Amino acid sequence: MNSAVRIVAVENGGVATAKVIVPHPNESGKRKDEQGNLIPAHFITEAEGALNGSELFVMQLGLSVSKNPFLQFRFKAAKGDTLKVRLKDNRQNSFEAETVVK
Amino acid sequence: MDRRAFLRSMSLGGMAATVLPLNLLAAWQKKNFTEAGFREAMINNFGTDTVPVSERVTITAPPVATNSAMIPVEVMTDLDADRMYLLVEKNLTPLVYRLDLKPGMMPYFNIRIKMRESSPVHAVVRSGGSWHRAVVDIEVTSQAC
Repeated sequence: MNSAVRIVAVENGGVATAKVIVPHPNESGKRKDEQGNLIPAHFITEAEGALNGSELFVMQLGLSVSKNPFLQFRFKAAKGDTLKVRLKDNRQNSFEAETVVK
Repeated sequence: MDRRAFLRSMSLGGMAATVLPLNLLAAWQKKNFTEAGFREAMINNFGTDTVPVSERVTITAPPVATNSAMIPVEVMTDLDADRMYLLVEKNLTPLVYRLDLKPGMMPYFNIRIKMRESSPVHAVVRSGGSWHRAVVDIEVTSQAC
């Protein structure tokens, strides 16, 4: 939960591919534990990305995303650009990570 | 504050902490992430339940998923898209994500998802104000969610 978001971005021919892994339980709130009690919802609801400070994407996520969410996306970039990703969960915790495009 | 009042305030605080985030969540995405079924999700997100299928939208996913808690689903299009959606028809909340693309972002997204049962999976793309859809069937051999 407190472990860092992992992020990497590699450019090839003017387009970078980024991979982001968020260590997070991403509980849907629909599952029950062994005693039959609902496990409370705890999942990523929002994500946004920015390149060199300019907004790249804004995202809303539901409860069907897997545990430790994995996000992969592409954007126009050059080596040395800075990609920043911010995420928020349904308990208002926020997470962020930054990387330099390789 | 005596011990009893303190404990009472603690338990109220505890309740608020578990209830409040869900209420906040409900306030902003309840409609898009409806639990009232696929048709309702389509109408709430696109204003219609009939979005035409376009071969210019592609979903890449395994036809059979052995681990239904972690299914990679890749969506791409050669359309000039400003919004992309992924929906699992038979999940409790069909909408998986809504992605708004800003300048520089390519119309491509890959994510790992959970599926409750075998289901059609739909990608919907908005381009030039119109909607385009792709659909694939994913069979699951175990249950997640």
